[in-house]
Amino acid sequence: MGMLGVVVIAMFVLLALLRVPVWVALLAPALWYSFVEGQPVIFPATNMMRSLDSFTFLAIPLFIYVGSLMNHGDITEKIFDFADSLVGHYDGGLAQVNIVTSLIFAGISGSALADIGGVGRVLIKSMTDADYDADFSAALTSASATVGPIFPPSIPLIIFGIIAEVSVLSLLLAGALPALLTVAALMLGTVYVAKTQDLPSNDKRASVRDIGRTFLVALPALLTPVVLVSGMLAGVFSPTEAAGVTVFYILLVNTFVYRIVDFGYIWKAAVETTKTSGSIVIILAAASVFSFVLSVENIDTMFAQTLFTISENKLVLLLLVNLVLLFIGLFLDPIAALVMMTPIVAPTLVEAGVDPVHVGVIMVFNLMLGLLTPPLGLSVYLSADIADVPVARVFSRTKVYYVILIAALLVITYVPQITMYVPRTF
Amino acid sequence: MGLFGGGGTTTLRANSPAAEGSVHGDAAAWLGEYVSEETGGSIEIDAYRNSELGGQIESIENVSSGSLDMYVIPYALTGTQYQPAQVFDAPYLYDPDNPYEDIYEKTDPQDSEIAQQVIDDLVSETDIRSLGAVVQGTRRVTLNVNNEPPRNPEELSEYTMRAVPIAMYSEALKALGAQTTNIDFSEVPQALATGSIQGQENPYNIIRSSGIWENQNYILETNHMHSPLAVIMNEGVFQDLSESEQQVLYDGVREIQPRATETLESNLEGHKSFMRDNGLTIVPPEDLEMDAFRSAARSRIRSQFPDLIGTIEQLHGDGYPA
Amino acid sequence: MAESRLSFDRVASAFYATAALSLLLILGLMIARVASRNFGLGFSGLQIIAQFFEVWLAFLVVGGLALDGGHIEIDYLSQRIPERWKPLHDILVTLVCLFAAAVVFWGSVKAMQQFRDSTAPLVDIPIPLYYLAPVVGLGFLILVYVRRLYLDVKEVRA
Ligand code: NA
Ligand code: NA
Repeated sequence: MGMLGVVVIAMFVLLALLRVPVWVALLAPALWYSFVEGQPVIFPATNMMRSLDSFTFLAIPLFIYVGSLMNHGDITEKIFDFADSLVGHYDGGLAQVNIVTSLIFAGISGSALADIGGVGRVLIKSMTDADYDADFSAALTSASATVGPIFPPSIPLIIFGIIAEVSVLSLLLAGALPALLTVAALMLGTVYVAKTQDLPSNDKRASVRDIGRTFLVALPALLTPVVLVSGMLAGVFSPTEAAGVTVFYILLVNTFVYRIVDFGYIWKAAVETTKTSGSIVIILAAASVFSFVLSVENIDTMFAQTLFTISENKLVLLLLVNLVLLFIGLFLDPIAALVMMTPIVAPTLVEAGVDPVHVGVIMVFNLMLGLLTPPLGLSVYLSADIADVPVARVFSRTKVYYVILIAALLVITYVPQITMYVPRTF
Repeated sequence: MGLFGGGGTTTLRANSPAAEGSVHGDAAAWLGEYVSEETGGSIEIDAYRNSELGGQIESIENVSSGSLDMYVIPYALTGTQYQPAQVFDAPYLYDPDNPYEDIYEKTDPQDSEIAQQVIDDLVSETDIRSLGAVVQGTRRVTLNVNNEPPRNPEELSEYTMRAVPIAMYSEALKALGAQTTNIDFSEVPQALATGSIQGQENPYNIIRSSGIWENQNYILETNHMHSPLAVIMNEGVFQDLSESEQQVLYDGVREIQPRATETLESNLEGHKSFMRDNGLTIVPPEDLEMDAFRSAARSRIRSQFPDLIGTIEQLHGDGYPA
Repeated sequence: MAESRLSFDRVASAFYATAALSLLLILGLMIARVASRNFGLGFSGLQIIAQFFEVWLAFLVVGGLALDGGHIEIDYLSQRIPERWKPLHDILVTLVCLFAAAVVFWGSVKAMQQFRDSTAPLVDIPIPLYYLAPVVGLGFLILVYVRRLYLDVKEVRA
């Protein structure tokens, strides 16, 4: 027990760093192990096919479709106009708009990179048009997109739920308050940044009438998370069905409210979605073969024992796990990190008495932070690319927000009530 | 199995969907204790629980292909590979007064000729061998009831219940009278809470461990199915064992049967008082029109499974009369 | 070689389109399922059919993604590999991918035989149709990798 498992993990890390596609980097070592173990060649095929043949999995392409459909309409601009009338006049006006818009968008989409690629594009452009530094705009957009996969819906939380066999419904609900807390922290931080760096703001406060007008226009979009969450709470639909219902809702809103009648975008977004979701679900299928090895080799027990020799105190363990995850997030793509670390980390924390739902939120938050740091900070790469500024300058402007997000992470880690309130109450 | 078995020890990997503390979760471990002792350690069983080595259909496919050595699962699920294996789960098949002993007798792969025939066919069709069965617990109906609980199929027809997506299970539930719908097991508590369904059917231990009881106020002891849990094994792996080792495995299943019965019965009282303490009303068979349920179930099975009814009649021993 | 690229792109597009169709079918099935449960329409097995299309969706796009560089990769380390080692590195990566794809492809072919007589519960979809998805999808993926290998080896020789 153990040794071969460690070899398999090492092979995965090596292959992944050598730019072998993540799904192959997971699969190839597991296949090698399977041969050594004398498994029949049917085994990996069955394992991959059956892991895809899962109800919860269906939520992934459907939620990705939601994000993709949003980016094809002009809902994004409507959300932006509303956020602008609401908070545009505060210190750092457009910066605050950026954060609020990201939050609203987070209620519709489930992936940080999709948020940046969609609403982020609009935000960065508006900010640079209003004389904000392009590197600051890109940094803030990356930071505020972190909230996307914490606030429901969330692709990473669904993935965690699938791997750890935890209720996806509870996980999605659990993300709501931590996301709001994080948004509040980011907004406060931005007030500070605005004071010290003299950011521009809107000249005058929008009239109540303007707020009302932009609100009405944005309302159908704003209602999406409300429909989604209340539908799940009321049990009208499960998270997987919620994804389908959200797609349906957006199609209705686009057609009947926003009058988008050129239906070509529906097909274009569908094709786009198969590519994005295909690249994710094939990783999950390969991870299923990989985690078979971890199970048989008892890697989770080894990890738990190692951590427990350092301390058995829950609070210390949480800190250690956060450090491990932040470190792994530096180098690995969040989905790769999630599929590798969930089967190892989750049982350890659950054994130490942490609620599995809380574990999920902590893990996803950690790995989202990895999107903001070198060497592999995909969010920063993407927004730097959109803003057309050097990555290094964006990284340096991200620092202050990184500190704020770490503080939020610690609060969320050590005050479990914030995470557990919604899933426990409803 | 395989390379690291060395030193004359064969280690068999067994999977189960259930948790520790239930017959379903522990049967493979119990069998392992016996087999290890009897073979002087030349055969060991590594028991995995909670679907750690794969989901239900996946694990059955894995036993069939030899990717997994053993699995503990109701016969009805092996029906996805070979439909006639569902005969052992027919509703109201076993003696209601002495169900567990009756199950052991009728499913015995060595003494029951009919069981032998079904299992031989299962082996030749799917490479899956059954070593025998332990008992899982009796399936009962749970409901949310507003006024009076239903006592016969006609009254139950006013309820919508979740059906297990396996033909024998869902036909049995339809026969009991309920409107049925298929929803994923993970969604049952939520669907009950919101009233999109009013009931489901399962053994006590699952009603309790899954939290379904939190959203139900009645348990009807319809006792419609006494599900045997088959201990299944890949045929290739089985044939690699010596004849005496094979015999030890058969004996082992027989050996753990009393322990299964005992565990089930001792857990049962605890489950019932737990349910009562939490405000659920249990309606015993005496207060139900059992004849009506039984005859509805048997006639529906007769009409829905014409290919299997001959075997079911033989198993029943008395023609499985409606 | 441009011609071969064109025919590969055509197959990839056709597979993407079929996958997109699967996605829309999944969407329709989910809506029907919500409707069925909440209005008591009594449709059954919709979930099982939707999952069947999910399997196809996933395997249909692996080849196209490999062709377009769409698979998730971690490339910051490999960017630091000296220029003259790069073709060799590419060959190595492709060989690993080819190995993994071939094993699962072959396993799926064997699974189609092994489970030829069994069907999905409730809806009776033959199980070999599930395993046909990896056979088709990974079959195309293998062709993509073989072509890439051929091009890489030619580059090293040149
Ligand atoms: Na979100
Ligand atoms: Na990073």
